[in-house]
Amino acid sequence: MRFFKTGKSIKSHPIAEKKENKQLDNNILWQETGISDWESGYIESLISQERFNKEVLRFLQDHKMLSSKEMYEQLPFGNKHWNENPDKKTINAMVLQGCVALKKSSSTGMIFVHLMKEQTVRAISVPEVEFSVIGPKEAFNEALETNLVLIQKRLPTSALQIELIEIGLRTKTKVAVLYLKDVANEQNVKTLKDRLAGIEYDHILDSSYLIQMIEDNKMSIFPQFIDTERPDRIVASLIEGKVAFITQGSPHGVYGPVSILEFFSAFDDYFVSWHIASLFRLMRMVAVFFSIFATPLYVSVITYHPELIPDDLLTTLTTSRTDIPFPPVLEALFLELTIELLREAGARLPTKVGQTIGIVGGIVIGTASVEAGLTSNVLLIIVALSALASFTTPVYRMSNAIRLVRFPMIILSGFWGLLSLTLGLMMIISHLLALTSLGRPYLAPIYPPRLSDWKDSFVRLPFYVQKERPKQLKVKEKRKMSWWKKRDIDEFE
Amino acid sequence: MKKIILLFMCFLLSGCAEREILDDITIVRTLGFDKASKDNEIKGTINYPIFINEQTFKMKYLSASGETSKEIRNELNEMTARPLFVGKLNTVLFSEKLAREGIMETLDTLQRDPGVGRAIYLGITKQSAESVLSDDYDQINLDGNYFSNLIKQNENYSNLPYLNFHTFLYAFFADCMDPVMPYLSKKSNAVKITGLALFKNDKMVGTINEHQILIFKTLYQKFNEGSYQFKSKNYKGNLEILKSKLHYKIIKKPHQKVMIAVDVKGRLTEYTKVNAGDPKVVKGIENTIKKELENNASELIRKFQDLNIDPLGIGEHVRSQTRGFNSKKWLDQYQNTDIQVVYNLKISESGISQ
Amino acid sequence: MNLNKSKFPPQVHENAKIAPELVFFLVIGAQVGVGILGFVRYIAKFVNQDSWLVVIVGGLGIHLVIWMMFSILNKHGGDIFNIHHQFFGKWLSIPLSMMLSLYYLATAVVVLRTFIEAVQNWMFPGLPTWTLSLIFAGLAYYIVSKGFRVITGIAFFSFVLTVWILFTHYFPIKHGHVINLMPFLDHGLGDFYQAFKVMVLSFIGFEYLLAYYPHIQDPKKAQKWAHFGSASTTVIYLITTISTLMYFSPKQLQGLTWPTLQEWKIVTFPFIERFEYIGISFFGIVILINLALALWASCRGLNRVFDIKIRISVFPVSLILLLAPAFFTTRFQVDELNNYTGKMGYYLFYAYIPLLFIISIFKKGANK
Repeated sequence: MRFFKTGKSIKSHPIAEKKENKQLDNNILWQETGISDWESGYIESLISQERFNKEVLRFLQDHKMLSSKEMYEQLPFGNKHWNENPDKKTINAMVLQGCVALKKSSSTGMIFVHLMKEQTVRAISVPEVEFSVIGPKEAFNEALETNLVLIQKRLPTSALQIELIEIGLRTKTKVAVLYLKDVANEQNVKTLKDRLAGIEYDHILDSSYLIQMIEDNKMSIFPQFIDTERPDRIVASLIEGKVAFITQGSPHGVYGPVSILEFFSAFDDYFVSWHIASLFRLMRMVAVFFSIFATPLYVSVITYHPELIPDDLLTTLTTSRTDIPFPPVLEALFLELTIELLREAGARLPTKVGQTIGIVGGIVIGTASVEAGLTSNVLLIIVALSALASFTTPVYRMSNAIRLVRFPMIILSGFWGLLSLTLGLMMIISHLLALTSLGRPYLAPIYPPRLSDWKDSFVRLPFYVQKERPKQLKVKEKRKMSWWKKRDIDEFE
Repeated sequence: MKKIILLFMCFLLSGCAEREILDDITIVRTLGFDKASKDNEIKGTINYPIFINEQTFKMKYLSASGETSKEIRNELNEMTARPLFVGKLNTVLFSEKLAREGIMETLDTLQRDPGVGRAIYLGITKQSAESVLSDDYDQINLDGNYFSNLIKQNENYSNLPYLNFHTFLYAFFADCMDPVMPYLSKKSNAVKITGLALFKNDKMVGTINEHQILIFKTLYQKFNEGSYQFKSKNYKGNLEILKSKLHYKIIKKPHQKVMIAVDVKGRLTEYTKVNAGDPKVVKGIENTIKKELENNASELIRKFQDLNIDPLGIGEHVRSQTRGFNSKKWLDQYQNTDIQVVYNLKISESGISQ
Repeated sequence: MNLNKSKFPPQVHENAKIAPELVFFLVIGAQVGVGILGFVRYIAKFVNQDSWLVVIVGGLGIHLVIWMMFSILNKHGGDIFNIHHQFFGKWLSIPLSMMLSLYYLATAVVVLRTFIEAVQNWMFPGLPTWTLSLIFAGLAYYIVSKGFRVITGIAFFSFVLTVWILFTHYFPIKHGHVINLMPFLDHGLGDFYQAFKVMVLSFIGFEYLLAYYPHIQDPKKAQKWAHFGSASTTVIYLITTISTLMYFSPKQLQGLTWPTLQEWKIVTFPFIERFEYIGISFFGIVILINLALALWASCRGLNRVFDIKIRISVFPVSLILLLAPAFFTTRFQVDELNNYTGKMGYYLFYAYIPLLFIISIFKKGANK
């Protein structure tokens, strides 16, 4: 956390002090209203000019005779402030927040009326990354208020705690921390809040900034929080007893603590029948292993252990490799890099062009390199499949991590074949074992082994089986089927 | 941290294992050994594919002679474009001539090579191994799997007993057991399993013919598939064996006697001149076949005793049922031991039509 | 340096403790090592077809030792280093604890060297010893430096990831000869005793419990799991022994250094042949937990006696682990190394621990 504290020195920086001594910010339009001796000050782009004219000025016109203080009391606005003798700093701060400052030139008292212009935000749209065929199709947008509404309307309980923190020395980004008071583990809440409060960085432009700053192990390539664009996913995590936060200006809610298996569950797993959901989940996990180990396995068998190849495959594999000048490691790395390039190019280009690039590039480069004798067609199939498999991971951050893990594995397999592969596997496992998310074990239901948590991990069993919240969260209220607790909840409200 | 990275780098550079990239090796599929023209020398022949382009490949063969198999290997290595790789070896053939003089020296080298599997097949060829290997039998042996598939197929679905490199070594090292190998013979367009080659230690001492293979198999192991051709004055036919199981009983008093009981279950699939629907007739056939089997088995065992070999491992069975077994004593009296075979034949069905 | 640290029972933070059930994985993970690839030959040398009985009796003997260990530890609390201090006083306890620490390290060296030999003989002939010892010592170092919970996790995963290998014994048993297991009990007591002594080497590993006992929540409950773990090891060895005896003829077995690897040569699946290469690779996982636990126990000794943090001492200790295998170059030397460690284990289990047990009966318990 120390790294981000450097922002603190800004306060004593000479340039900053100089700015403070200036009269008022240049942006503030400070003028006489022409009504009595009232003066007004505001930033034009921030406030609603129309409301100012229609509501504030008209009221002033109608009540010319009132003193400043009386005027403050009578102004028909909910969000207004009175300051007897404001200093420049306060005025600046208030005006920058979208207030209109009103002052009689004869007195020092100042009224601040909140007249922030209605923000033009993106409408609530369909989730793009986590699209599901069945189920709600609302996604977060960039406005914190809207996002909070999306959650609150799904969770109409006073147990839902929303705590606002301001992070970012310059951007003053509002971050809302959410949790259920009667469920979430206090230690988890405290850890998250402490970590967020510890951030002293100039600008926070998205929740991704925060995720990277508060992760338990910042050296790890595995993500330790899940960010989602689905309000329902956030609500589900809150009910499970997790802690979430939403950042102003970010269309993603973030929650934790998470375990590695959650990264392989898509939210539509809860919308389809449990058999299908379980099958899909298992498929995704197999896909992950395939994605990480298929190419290295090919490399190590071809390079070091041709004994392993069954007789029937032997000629197929050997013919496919005839005339290929590179050792299998380089061949595999070359192909993997090609696929990554295609993916990156596709991601940078507009959707339609991107698609074309992906298909054309895949087919053309693939066939061309096989025909040119640069790669073997068997490897091409394996690499394409493992790339495909890596995209099945529902959480984008995780699928990136998995694609990255593949490269050291391929390189390793070029050294000691299968032996280095099992060692690589152990390296990954020991790293994951040491990893935590908000201080909770990352491999949770697998290790420490908690069989009762397995109901919603590798598979998703029917809802009526899942009577309890995950043990690893150490929640206050363990039971999820709380109908027998209904009375208690009512009392709490 | 920097030091660790540096250490890791130099480790990466020098710690790489020896590579055997699939397309940079000569994949030896079949190996054959013959007696060379020179005395004390053996001739080795390898059979391996060469890959011409991405679609086509061809099987090639190459021979070299030397005093030891290591020498042969070196000789061959000097002739091939890519290093020899024996990891995918599937069959090793010896010519009868060589086998009669002993083959353990050659096999021992193979046994010590960790790259050589134990599920590979061994065989004795009537002709020279080189001539058997160098033919592609009208393109049957295109991929070098012909011999191994031939033996494997016959072991699984036919009369050949389960034999491979491991069973050879097992019997060779066992105190009271001698190894056997399939005996192959080259015909015009194929190779045929014409019997079993019998060994005393590592020297071939005799053969049994193809009609005796099944009898041998029933006495050697339990199995589920096989067929037996029977013939008598009145009728002939084929008995498909569905199940065969053997039991040993050792009787010590008044004199050492070994009883081998074989339970055979089977059905008639081909028969002439009889009505197999009639239980009485079937009973009659059962008795005839039983007699025939028992006679053949006794004859076979007599042959083994005359050659003073024990390919069935009868001695091993005796050992397992005798406390304080003395193998030397057993071997001394083996030729005179009374060994009796009893078949319990049961014909359950007789084909799909009555 | 605080030489008095072992005077007090160890303080282990609640978060660093493991659930008692996990002791099962620790015991089985440490016991089953590279020895399983070759131990049958050594006991079959003496008792041949009766080897399976030796495995069972050896396993029962270990249960007795485990019971004695738990009686001592339960009564006097703390760990072996604290008990040394209680029983023998400060100055005598230091060399004793150091010898134990050294023994733990020796077990790690044995396992690593033997495994490297297997790799050099079967997979990569000519691969320099130090490359493999570097990568294994490095990984063990990483794991140990992450703390005991991670080690337990590795034990858990190494069990889960490798337990299926047991099913490969189906193939040799299928092709094996039951007659090789008969006649029963056809050997003298002397032969059995010799074989029993040799068998001890294969059971080495549960004695790390002397060091990690305080890391168990509710350690009294862990006893049954330790017994269960050791019993499972016995079953694994039993299956291995039976399949090996059935598959090889006695003289053939005596000619093989790694019978289990030889067995795997006939294990074939439709998609893969020659299982021994996969088997050796997966044994890398098995020996990793052996190394990590031994390394940790060794460092723990240094920590308890000299108050050196494990995070600091693990570096030099794993450096020893990295360098030591290079000194044993021939088959004979590796064999001798195994012999000596086996003997050390034998005297530790059947002389030293019973001695401690007798002392503990007469000594008053520390807590309550």
